Amino acid sequence: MLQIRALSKIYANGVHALKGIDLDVAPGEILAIVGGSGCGKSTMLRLIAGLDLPTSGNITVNNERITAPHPSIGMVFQEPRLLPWLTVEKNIGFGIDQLPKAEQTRRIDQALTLIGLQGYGQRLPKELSGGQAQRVAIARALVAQPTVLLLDEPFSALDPLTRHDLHNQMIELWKAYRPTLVMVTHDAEEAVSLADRVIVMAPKPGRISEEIQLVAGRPRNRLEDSFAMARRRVLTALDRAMNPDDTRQNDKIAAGAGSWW
Amino acid sequence: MTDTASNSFEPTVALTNVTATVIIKKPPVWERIPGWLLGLIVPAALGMLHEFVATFQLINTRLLPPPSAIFKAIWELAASGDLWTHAVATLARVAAGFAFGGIAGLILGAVSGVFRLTRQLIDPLLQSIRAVPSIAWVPLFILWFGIFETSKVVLIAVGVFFPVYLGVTQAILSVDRKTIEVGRVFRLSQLSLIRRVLLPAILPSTVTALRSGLGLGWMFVVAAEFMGASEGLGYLLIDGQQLGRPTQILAALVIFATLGKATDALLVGITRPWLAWQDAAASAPKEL
Repeated sequence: MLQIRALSKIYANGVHALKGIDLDVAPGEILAIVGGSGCGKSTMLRLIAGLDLPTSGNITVNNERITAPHPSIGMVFQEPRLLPWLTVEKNIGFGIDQLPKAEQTRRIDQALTLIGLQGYGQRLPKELSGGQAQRVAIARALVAQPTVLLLDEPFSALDPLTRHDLHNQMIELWKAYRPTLVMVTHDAEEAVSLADRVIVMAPKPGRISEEIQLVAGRPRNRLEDSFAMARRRVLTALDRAMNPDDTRQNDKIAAGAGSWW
Repeated sequence: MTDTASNSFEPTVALTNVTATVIIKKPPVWERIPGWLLGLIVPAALGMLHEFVATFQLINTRLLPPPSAIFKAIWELAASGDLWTHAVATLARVAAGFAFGGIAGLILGAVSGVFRLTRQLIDPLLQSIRAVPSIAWVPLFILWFGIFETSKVVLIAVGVFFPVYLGVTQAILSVDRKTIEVGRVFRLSQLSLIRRVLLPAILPSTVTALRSGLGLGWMFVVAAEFMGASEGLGYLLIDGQQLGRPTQILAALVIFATLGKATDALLVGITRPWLAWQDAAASAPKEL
C-alpha cells in the first residue's frame, strides 16, 4: 500500500511544484497520473522514488517512510537509461547483483522471456531498437521485484505502433509480477488503455484536480465506444485542469460535443 | 488492400523464382582491401614519384634525398646498431615521461573532476600553467634538474600531463546525471557507483586523453633532446643538421613517424576490448 500525505515540494528557485497531495494506491493497482507540463507529475514520481526529498508531508510504502531510494520501489524512466557497456543480460541484472548467481540467472531468463527478447541476452544496447531497449529497462526494474513500480512517461519516445505493443506487454508483465504501477503520462489514450484509476493534475501549484475510476476489464479494446468515452472524460478533465479560468469552456464542450475529434 | 498488393513491385506469383535468384550485391573493390593497405597507397605513390624525379635528377637530391637513400640510411643505422641505441633512448624517455605525466594527469584529473572544491582550488592554477609554452620551461628545468635524463623526462611529463588532466576532468564532469540516477535507484554504494558506472563511462574519453598525451610526449621528446643529448632520435636530427646530412634528418623523421604511430596503435589495441560497446560510427563493425 502506497500512501501519500500532505505532500508538498518547493524547489530552491521558489517554484511550488507540488502542494498538499493526498493519495492512496492499493496493492496491485495500476494508477495513471496525467497532466500538462509543469504540473509536478514527474516531481511526484521522483519523490516517491526517493530521488528527491519533499519539502513537507510524507510518503509511506507498507508503513515504511520513504526518504531515499528503497528496495520495494522500482523506477523506469522516460529514456531506457541502459548502461551501454553492459550486455542486455547484465543490464537486466544490474540491480540484483547481491543475489546468488543462480537466482540472478533464473530471474533474468524469466524476464527475457516475458519481454519477448529470448536470445538477446548477449547483445549490447546499441544493437536494440527503442522499443526493445525500453523493454529491457522495464525488465531491469521488475527483476528486483519491487512492490511499487514507477513509470515516468515510459512510452512517450516510441512510435504509436510500438507504444501500443508495449502497452499490451506491460499488462502481461504486471500480471506476472503484480506490482503496484504508478505511471506518469501525458497521453490520455495510454492512461485509459492501462489504468484502473486516472489522477488528473493541475499546475501552479501542482495538485490533484480530478480522479477518474475506470471500471473496464482487460484486455481493453481501443475501438469500443466505452473506451472513446473514457478517453474523452480524461481529456475533458485535463482541459479543465489546465484552463480553470476559461468560463466559456463548459458551454463549448456542451455545444461542440460532437465535433470533439 | 488486395488491389494495392497486386500493384506493388513484388508480384506474388513470381515469389518462388525471386527467392531463388537473390542477388547479393558485391561490395566495391576498395571495401574488400584491408584498411592498413589502403592507407599505404598514397604514401607509396608519392614515394615512387619522388624516386622517379630523383632518378632523372629533376630535383636537388642532396637536399631532398629520394626514399631509397632514406631507407638505405635507416638500414645502415640499423646495421651499425646505432638505430637501436637512439630509438631505445628516445622510447625510454617517452615511456618514462608518459608514465609520470599520465599517472599525475589521471590522479589530479580524477580529483578535480569528482570534487568541486579541489577543482576550484587547483584548476585555475593548472590552467594558467598550461598556458606557458612548453619550451619556455627548458631553461628552468636545466637549472633545476641538470642536463641529463631528469630534466628531459620532466619536460615530457609536463607535456603529457595537461591533455590527460583536462580529458579526465572533462570526462567526469560530462558523465550523464541520468545514468548516475539509475545507480541511485538501485542503491549502489559510493564505491560501486564509481566502479560500475563512473569508470566505464569515462573510459573512452580517458583513452582519447591518453592518446593526445602520448602524441604530445613524442613532441616534447624532440624538444628535450634538442636541449642537449648524446643519443636519441632528436640527437640524430641535430647531428644531421650540423653535419649537413639531410638523409640522416629524414631517416630520423621517418623513424619518429613509425614509432609514434606504433605506440599509438599499441595504446588503441590494448584498450579496444573495453571499448567495443561504444555506439559511434567510427567503431561500428565493418560487416554491418
